[in-house]
Amino acid sequence: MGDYYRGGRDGGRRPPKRRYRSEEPEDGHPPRSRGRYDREDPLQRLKRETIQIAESPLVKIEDAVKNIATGYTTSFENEEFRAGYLACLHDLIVEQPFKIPFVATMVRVANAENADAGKAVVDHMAESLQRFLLVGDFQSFKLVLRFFACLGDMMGEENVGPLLEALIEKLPAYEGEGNEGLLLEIVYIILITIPYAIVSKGPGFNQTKATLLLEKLERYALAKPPMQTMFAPFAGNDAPYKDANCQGQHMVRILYLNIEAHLNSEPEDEFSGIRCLPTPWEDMPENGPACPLPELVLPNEFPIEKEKLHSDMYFSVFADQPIETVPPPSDLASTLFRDAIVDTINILDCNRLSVSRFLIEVDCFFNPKAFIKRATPYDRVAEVAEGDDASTWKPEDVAVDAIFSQLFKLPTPGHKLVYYHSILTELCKLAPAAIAPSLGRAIRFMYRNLEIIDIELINRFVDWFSHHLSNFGYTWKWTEWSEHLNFPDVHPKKAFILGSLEKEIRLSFATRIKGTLPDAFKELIPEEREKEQPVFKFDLDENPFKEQGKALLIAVSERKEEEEVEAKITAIAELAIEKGIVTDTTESRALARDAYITCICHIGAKSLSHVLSCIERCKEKLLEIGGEHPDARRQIVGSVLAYWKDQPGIGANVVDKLLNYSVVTPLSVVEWVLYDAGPEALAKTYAWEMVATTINKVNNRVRQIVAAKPSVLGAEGVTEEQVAVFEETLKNAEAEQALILAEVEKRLSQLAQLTDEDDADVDVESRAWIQWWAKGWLRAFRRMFGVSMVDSF
Amino acid sequence: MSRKVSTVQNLDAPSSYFEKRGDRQRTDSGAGARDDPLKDAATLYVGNLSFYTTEEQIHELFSKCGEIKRLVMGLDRFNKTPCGFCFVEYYTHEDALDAMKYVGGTKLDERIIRTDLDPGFKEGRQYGRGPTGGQVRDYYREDYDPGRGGYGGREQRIAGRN
Repeated sequence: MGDYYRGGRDGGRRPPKRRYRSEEPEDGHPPRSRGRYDREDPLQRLKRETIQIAESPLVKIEDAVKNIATGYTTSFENEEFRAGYLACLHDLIVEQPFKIPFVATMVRVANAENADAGKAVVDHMAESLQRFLLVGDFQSFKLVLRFFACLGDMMGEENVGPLLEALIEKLPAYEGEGNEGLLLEIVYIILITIPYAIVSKGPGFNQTKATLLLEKLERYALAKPPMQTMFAPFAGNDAPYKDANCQGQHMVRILYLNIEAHLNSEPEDEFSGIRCLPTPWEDMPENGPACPLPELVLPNEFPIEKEKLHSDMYFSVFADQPIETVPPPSDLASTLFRDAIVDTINILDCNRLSVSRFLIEVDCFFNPKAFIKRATPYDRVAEVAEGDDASTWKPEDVAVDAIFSQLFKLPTPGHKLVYYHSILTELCKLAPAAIAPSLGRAIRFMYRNLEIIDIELINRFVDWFSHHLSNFGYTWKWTEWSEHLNFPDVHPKKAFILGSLEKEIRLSFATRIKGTLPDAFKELIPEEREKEQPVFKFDLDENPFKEQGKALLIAVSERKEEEEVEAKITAIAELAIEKGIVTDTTESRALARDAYITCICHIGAKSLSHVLSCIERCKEKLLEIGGEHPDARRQIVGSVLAYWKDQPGIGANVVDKLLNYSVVTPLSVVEWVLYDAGPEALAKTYAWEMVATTINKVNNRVRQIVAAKPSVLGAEGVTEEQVAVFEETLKNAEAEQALILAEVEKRLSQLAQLTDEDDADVDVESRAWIQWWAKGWLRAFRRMFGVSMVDSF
Repeated sequence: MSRKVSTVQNLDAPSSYFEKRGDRQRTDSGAGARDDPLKDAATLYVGNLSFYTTEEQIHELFSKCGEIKRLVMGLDRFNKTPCGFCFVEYYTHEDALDAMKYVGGTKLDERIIRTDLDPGFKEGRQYGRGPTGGQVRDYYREDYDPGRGGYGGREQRIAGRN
């Protein structure tokens, strides 16, 4: 089969592979000449070697460092070379955090060889450090700062101590409402720099110094920002971890406690705590003259959206295992690993293949003793590590854990969720034997804890799990969950299974997915699901409107004039009264509208493009009937989902398109799901997606209008009328947002206290779970609005 | 959050397809019209699909990168049946780039799909340009690919003659 991919596995330094089986005819260009390394100039070669630093365990790091340093100092006088190489060092430091200690070592060696060459790097990086701080690029600021910390006494006696002190002095100036995230961010940067400064062995930056700094940070690091509980991955008080203290805590606090513990006691093992960090400079000669940092200007304000700064919460999928395959949250190594891995992932989203390779090789970039041999099976970890008190930490578990921490980060991670899916897929392709079992344990952890996981995260879990399986032939050991098939459909475990199968089918098709399932699970997929198109209800003999419905279908599909279509619609309404099916005209008209929407759905059933063009063609009529009655739009949503009842995912897509054409309103979608879809719908992925997508659209709209405010109101020659129009638009959008929030709050609060009277059909157990879902939805949507409301101020 | 990275290759770079065509056009017109047609491209060409993959499946996967504005299936120009490629149009350039980075090279319907930035769909481009109506690559293909009509068009012609 044509399984090929242009991107190339290494992602980095090699030129992209030629497309050798292009579907486009070749145009006679000769293949690019080979042997590019032969003609490489010294700058290109040194850049390549530098970028690859520490990647290969086969190359002795001392040799590599010395070679590169000499290459740099030798050509240092050449201005063009110098500029190009400094730029490369700079990029490497802010793009590949794993390599910072090694780059720093190289610079220390170069400094010993030629002090000017060392100073040139410091000056160049100091400039960036200042710039990053002024623009509020905290991630880059942190990494450059770490580079300096790793320079040890090349930075002068006190290393980055004075700079950290200055930052701490400045902290009170940043205090204030709305700045909680900002403060935590800066405190985090100071904290995470401390371990690197300690291991880099500047004589003045020692434990005592660190203790002094830490004391001043305590009150900030232990603070609890206002939305914190809303961002915890696990709702409620049950801790899924062995160490319950870390649950619901932000990483700044964890890091603070880690460093505090480190300063008060020696690390247990020769690889744990601060000793997990690499110290490549240990084997190097003297540093050469010191080159202290110039003083930094600390701005009073940062030109960023401060509300968007949220510290990560502690999260691990491996923190409950009998055998410790990742550092426990009480160990500084856990935060040091997590920090560097998460940065690597989030910075290099442009190449998931490179990221995956770095993650597989994570043990190259830390103390090699900190990890057990790659791909050691979980059940052999204890045995392999036994005897010499070796580490039980699995490099693949540490990496996978970090990816999940981002996939399950609330309120939103740095990139689209699918990015984190793609790294997990890539890792699995790169090292299946090592990664697949690790993912298996992660999946089981999540599954085991479904009853306490945040609802939004359950939906992310379903989405990832089904997408992941779609890349690996849909193989999963479903039988281990067989005992949960007897649970009611609204039980989170059963709902997870149903949701995952539903999403697998959406990526594939029902018969295929059935073929991957054990018998007991096959029954979860109804036969109707395998039909290509839903039944058109007016084709059924028992339908009282079958003639009229079919006539309407023909009229719409043959693009008849509006009068003719309207006549057919009216005929249905009249017949309904005539036959005594309904008594008043409001109800009869509703039936007629339903017939019209059913026809549109049926004409569009062939594909998304079909339904889209059908909606486009009929949009006038659709808008008109949507305005006929206050409930009409909500009924339209119901008609679409009734037609697509066996494939609600498609129905939800159609509703989303109708929303774009304003045929239905956001409120009508939300109301239909919360009132008309039945309380059990809260456990369905399509229902969640409908509401979440709709609310996101509403929130985005308000956000966009607010963002446009300065440019609209500040524009030259803007008339009062235009200002009024703008204000009106904003007011309306905000009113709509508030209305939806109120409706969501009201209805979910009701469902959270669902009683017999509300729904007599529901058994006691199911009712308890429906209440559970309602509470979870409420928490998730409050968070969604809470965040966006902060945004709009 | 999107920042140009220089120490690893960027997967959202377009293939050489339009670069080459652009070169040719430039030499034809003789002018140095260096305006990159892919600068704001919000459309993707998606290749190596199974003939049986539906719009809904494509939508399900590609909407993970952003809302999809339009989907155009590639069709055999004689039979008007899907012939293994499509155009996915997003509302933003950003979403298209993300799909290049996160979806290109992963599986859809159990096949590794290929994505490429595209300056935008034009009527006519939905049809295969191979001699038998499908894509050119399927005409010359020598392997048996059940997802793409079995043997390549040329092989089938030869087999038919014998």
